[in-house]
Amino acid sequence: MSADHARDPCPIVILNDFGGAFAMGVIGGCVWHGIKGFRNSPYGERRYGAISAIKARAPVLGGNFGVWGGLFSTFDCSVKAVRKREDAWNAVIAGFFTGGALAIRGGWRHTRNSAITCACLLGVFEGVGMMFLRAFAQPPVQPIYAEEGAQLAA
Amino acid sequence: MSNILSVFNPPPARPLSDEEVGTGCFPCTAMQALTALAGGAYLASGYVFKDLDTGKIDLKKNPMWWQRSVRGMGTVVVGFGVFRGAEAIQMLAEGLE
Repeated sequence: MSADHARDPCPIVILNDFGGAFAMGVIGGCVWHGIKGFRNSPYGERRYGAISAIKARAPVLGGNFGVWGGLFSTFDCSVKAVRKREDAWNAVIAGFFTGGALAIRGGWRHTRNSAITCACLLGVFEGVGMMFLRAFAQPPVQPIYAEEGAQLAA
Repeated sequence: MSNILSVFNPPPARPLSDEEVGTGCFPCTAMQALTALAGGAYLASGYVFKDLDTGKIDLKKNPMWWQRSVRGMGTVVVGFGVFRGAEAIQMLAEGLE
């Protein structure tokens, strides 16, 4: 199979993923903490409560997402460079290292459990993605030849 | 393509060429060297095991074998960073000639 020449070099892909994950976290955090702040505030202060909760919590959530995305992308690029192959195992191995790296301050048990959980989760995502791709793939169409067409018409 | 998006929309399995994995790419090698040096130094420093409030190491959470493993891994990563850094400097020198 031919090489993908449209692919960016890894440092750019990692920055791109970090930014994308940060933006996703901030947007999700705005919705989540906005609703939470609104609901937990007294009447008359609800809009102010929602905005305060968004200001306090959404950037933190964005940062957490961004760190996860950046680390995952870094490990994914490293695994691709070592294995020199693009397949589902790259994401699983990168997820294992990401989960472990993020939990390393919590001790060896926490690191082990987090690494295994993250790898399994990414394996499930990969599997579901592949399942959807197969389910919605275009079935091959059998060509109709002129003779068969003439026979059918007769 | 984004590495995160390719988890949800996986591309077909295929071998990657040297060009695609970044062999001979100066920014890739330089960034890899910097990341490996910073990450390796963090792991090797032992700061990972210290409690943020008390500054003490909980030996139940971080037994000696675990501390030695992480520090050893950090040292290996620093060594890898030095190796890749030397490669990046060599690439830069070849480019300037």
